[in-house]
Amino acid sequence: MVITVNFILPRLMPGSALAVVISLIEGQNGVAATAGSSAIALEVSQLEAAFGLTPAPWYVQYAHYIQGIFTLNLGASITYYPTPVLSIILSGLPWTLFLVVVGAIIAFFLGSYLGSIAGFNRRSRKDLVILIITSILAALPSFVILMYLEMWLSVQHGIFLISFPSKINTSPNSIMALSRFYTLPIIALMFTSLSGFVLGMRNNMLHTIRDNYVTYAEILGLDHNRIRKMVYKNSLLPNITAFAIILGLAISQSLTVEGLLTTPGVGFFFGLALTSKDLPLLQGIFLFIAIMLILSIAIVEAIYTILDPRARVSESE
Amino acid sequence: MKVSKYYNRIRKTLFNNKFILAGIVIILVDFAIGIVGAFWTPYPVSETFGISLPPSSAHILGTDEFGHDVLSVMMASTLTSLIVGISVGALIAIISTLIGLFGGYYGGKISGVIIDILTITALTIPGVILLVIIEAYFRAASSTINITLSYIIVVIGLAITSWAFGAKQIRAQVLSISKRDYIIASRLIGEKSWRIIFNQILPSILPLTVAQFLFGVLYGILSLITAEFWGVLPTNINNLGTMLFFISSNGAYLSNQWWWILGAIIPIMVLGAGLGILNIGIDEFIDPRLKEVKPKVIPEKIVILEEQEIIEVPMLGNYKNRK
Repeated sequence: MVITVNFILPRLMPGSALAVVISLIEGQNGVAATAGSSAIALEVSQLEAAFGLTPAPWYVQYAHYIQGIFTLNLGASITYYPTPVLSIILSGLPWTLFLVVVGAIIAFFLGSYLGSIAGFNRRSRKDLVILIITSILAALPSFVILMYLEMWLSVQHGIFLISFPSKINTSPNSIMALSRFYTLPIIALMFTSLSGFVLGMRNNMLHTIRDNYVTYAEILGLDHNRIRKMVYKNSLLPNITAFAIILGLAISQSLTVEGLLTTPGVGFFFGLALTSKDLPLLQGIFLFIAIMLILSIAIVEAIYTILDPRARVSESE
Repeated sequence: MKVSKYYNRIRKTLFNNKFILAGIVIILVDFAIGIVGAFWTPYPVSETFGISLPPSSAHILGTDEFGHDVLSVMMASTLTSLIVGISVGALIAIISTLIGLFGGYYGGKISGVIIDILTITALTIPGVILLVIIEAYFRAASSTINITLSYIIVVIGLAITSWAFGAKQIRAQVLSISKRDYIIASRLIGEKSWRIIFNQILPSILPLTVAQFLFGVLYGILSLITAEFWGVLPTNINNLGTMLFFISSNGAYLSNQWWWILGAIIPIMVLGAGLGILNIGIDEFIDPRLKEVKPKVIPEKIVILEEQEIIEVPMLGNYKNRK
């Protein structure tokens, strides 16, 4: 079902990708090319046949596509012809995952910690400050936060790099450059996803804090920090879901951040494929988004049953 | 009669709960900026001044790289973005609630399975993509598209791709509620299912619907901005996304034009702050146990018959406190 939708969606896009490419070439060659426009039209249709786009009826295309998925042959990208789609995505995926995973891990712990403080001191000044700041950060697009960070720390002070290092190897210098480049995007992504964790923790904590064992701990005379840690552990579950969903949506998440910095990640290729209507690449990326989401949801459900015995009971119902 | 009862209840909630009131006021102020901006701006939006002037008394937020007054552009752009956000939020809330309700109530049967499949499918479609496709159609259809119509389609496109998370949450809640005794009792007396769904289950999941709405608003605004960022929507119309598109395409962050970026995000920041405060206020609806109930002292008269003599004992309503 999902695969089918992924097949249909890009095809709904009017205007063929080749027309975009051709118009680019025409733009470069100036007026001369328009003279032979009928020849170009012929060429377009030939190329389209080569890419398996228009001429074949939809069910042939569909069969071809399904076959491609199972043989891991997703076709060649049009903008990066003749690089196969799969190798483009696989080359970009580690960068995107690195960016999003590190950001999400920091956001998970920081957000849960802040959320537990906010929830424990409900409606106090601390609660108010934490919630308002994180909500503002959540409302901002991540690339805007990134713009300010880059403006302040890269352009003015030169602490961090603004462009992706051109040479990547395992030498300490290169790793240093990479980390100097990646710090800011990670922080920017972390800030935008912080609010979800804070709210998840806070709202869940408000539930658990009314449980009897908390009252018992209070009567025992445990200090507040200790009780907060106890409740924290018991309220962590929803945030694990949020964490997995962020990973599942990694590609869409990094769309703007990678676009701004032109990092060779999947988000960047995604944006390029969107603007240049690179059908095979789009299709491949859709497939990866779907696979990652479904995988992460499945993993969450598995983790849930391990961590929370109550979920096991409700499952058997 | 009934309306005034609801009105009273709403008024009471608002004034007892300062956070909800403050949140709503902040959001309304944001809207006011937008509405004023739609009719009046300090300078006409297309008027040009010096290029990239930093903030001064004449231009509170400076001017952008085209020489436009940033404050004016901001005011003119706010309303459309807010309306798109609010309508996406409302649509997401409605769709996810309805699907969650029906999917949960009829869960396990064929309709439940169909809804499950729909949900997973909708989960995996990134909303931005649908926007691009829709938009491309419009651009292909005609060069002069009706702006209002294209916004309506953007809103619908965003809503139908993003109701699924909410529906999943609500469905889980409905599943557990519809197995409770009072629902089963209603079913046994032969109450119509739609009455059970809307009168008995709906009220207890309303807080989740509100949460869906709040997140939906932000989602709508941010998605519009993401789509604009890649330039896949037309840039000849004023909204905050187009503003940010010009900012990023002109590299404003490389040339230190912080005021230009600030102009594009002030309305979103205000909205975010308003929603944050609203969320603090709303938590007591999510968990009614958090509601601060002022203990009412009701003097009661308990009549005890003792040896034909009547003794009146005054008693506090809350007998637990009477130690």
